[in-house]
Amino acid sequence: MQNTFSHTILVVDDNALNLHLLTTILTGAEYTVLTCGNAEEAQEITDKSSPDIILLDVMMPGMDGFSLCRELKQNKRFSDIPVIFLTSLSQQEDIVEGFNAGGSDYIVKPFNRQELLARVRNHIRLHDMLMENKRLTRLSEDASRSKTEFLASMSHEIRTPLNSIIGMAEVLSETPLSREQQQFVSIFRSAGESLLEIINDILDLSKIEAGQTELEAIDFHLSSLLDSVVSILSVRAAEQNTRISTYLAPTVPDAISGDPTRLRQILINLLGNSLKFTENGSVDISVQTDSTDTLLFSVEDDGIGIPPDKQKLIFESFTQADSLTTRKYGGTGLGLTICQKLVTMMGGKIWLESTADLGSTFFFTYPFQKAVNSPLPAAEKHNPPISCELLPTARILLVDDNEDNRNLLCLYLRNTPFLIDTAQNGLEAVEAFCRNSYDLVFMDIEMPTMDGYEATRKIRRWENSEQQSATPIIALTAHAFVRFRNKCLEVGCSDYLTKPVRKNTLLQTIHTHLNIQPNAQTAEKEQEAPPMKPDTQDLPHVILDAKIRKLIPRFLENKKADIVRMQETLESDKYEELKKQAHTVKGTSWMYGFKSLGDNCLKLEKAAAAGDRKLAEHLLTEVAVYLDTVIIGYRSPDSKNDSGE
Amino acid sequence: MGSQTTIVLIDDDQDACELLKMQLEGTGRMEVTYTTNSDDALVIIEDKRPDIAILDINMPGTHGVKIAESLAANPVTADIPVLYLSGMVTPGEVHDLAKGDGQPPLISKGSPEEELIGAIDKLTSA
Repeated sequence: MQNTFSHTILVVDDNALNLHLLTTILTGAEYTVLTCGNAEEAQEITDKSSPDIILLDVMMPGMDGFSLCRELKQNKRFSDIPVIFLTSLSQQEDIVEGFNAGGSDYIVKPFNRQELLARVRNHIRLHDMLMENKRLTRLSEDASRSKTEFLASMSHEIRTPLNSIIGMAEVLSETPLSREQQQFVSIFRSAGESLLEIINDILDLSKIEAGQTELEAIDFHLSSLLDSVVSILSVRAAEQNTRISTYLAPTVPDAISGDPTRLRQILINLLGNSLKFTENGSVDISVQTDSTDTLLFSVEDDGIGIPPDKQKLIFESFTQADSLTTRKYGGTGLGLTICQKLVTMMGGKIWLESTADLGSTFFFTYPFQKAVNSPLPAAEKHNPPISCELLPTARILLVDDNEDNRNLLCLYLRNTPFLIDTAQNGLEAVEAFCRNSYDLVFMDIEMPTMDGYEATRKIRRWENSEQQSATPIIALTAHAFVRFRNKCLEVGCSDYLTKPVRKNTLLQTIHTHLNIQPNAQTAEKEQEAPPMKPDTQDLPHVILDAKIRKLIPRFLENKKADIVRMQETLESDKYEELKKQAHTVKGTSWMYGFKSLGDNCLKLEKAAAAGDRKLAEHLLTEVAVYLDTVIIGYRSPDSKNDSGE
Repeated sequence: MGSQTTIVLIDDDQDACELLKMQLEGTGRMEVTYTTNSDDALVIIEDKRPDIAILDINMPGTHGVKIAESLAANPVTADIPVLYLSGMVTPGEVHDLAKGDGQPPLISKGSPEEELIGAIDKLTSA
């Protein structure tokens, strides 16, 4: 303990001789010494220099040492500085008062030089330890507080570029590629997806550990949940030539109440884990009643099994049976940890029985309640690919400050009938929104100048003041935490997508929101459209009455000419004229049975009435493409009226 | 029925006229004369004195409603029933408008062929 050089000692004594003596002793021991002759001065020096320890006389003119000590101890800034009284007052009660006033030690004059130094050294050491301890506590508190924040922002930072990587791979895979290139792309796509999976697992685990995961209690069908789990993993099972079977004991009620999302997550993890270690074999999931209010799930495989000494470790984070396993089978080793935490949260237990080379069975118990109401069949998370041609023309505002993201989403929507406008921040978004009319908005949340929350609030306020119905606003964010999602909904967003957004999810979302929450224009369109059946195939096609067949070539020719004429009209900004032209083409198109052509001309008519050049241009392109690509079928005269466009 | 129902059709779009002519004459009991120039409408209708006049409403020349008014004001044509055919309205609105007093009935261009033929038959059978 020789590094005393850095410590500063304040000596307070009204006796100059004492001050001199103490200074000599303490500087001799390589302390830095400050001195003063009264309590008031001592306060000033303490305030300015923050000494590490104070040697304090008691009897001084003005404020006495005990009072000064009490004052210092009451001040948060100085309360940690140890005070050693150094006084000729040697009565028992004086000593007690000194400690009561907050003193750390009490030395009676005349003092022994060695003892004084030993005590000073000791208190400085204790003080240092206390400070270090406090510092560490503060650090660990800060660390745990910022861990969640850190994870949130880390996930954001990783997801944003990952969004571009996975998305671009997806777009690239849809372009003409050689077989070899196709393989390369699929590798970088699946690598991106594994990375995403790892991030999701880590986030999930940290949320559970931070106590941020809340369980839901909703009614669901166990059998459809099992079906969906199996269907998600069936492709993988087939690739490994492994059969999955499920058994639901007759005593198990089908409709139960609980958290289907978490139960599904547990089952997917367990089943996925079993599949990982099983080739050319079978995996059996069974559900039985353990007691009246507890179910016993088991997932049994005949794979490689787990040696006894590793069985306990298997539920710990980042652990697999051995490092060779990791290299061979991959995975983060987080899946089972997540399962264990979730099962425990739900009040159940998880364990495993396994014999090396024969296979493993994972068991878990699941306390449940019977469903109050008979739930609707669980909605499949499995979305079929969306065909763009089924979607109506719509104008979409895409708001994102990241150019890569904007480009990616525009690429996703490249061959769709949507007209995309972009904005780089909330301010631009609000301006664009008030200027043009949109059917849907994709709103990034984290943006400079004005963030997505604020922009959404402003848009909702504007719609209110203009008495417009709410346009669907879909929040886009790389944050995966529920509270971000809730905040989005609070400020008025209609839905929420977490980046990276996949093409199919994007189209699905557009589809959902343009149908379920049609804005004024779409609703009107639906009423106004003649009663005909919707398109049912991918390419624009139409089935017409065979009787009018010979009129069709000329009709198409004339309408193409009409489109050219309308383009010219638009060029010269004659909107009133364009409106009339569109009106005529619309009526004739409907008469012939070209419903979607007529519908688009109706939109064109309205765009012209509103003087919306960009939308009009877009719609003209749409109808021109339609006329060039439409496939026409004819229904025979005796089957008329059973099929529309 | 020995005689054909004679129809004069006024619509500025040639394709619309051709289609209707084909559909209506396809029934075997209607005969359609049309013009795409609505300014000629009154002259043709007065000359042909058809059983019914079918008028588009929004046209570059004389407006459909204007033609109907002129027909009603002219003793020679006042008894010729008029049917509007327009892309302006939905089938639902047509239904409502048709109830309005004194207004010629209206058929949407999106309506099925049978509805149009039914409306013509109804107006010419009186």
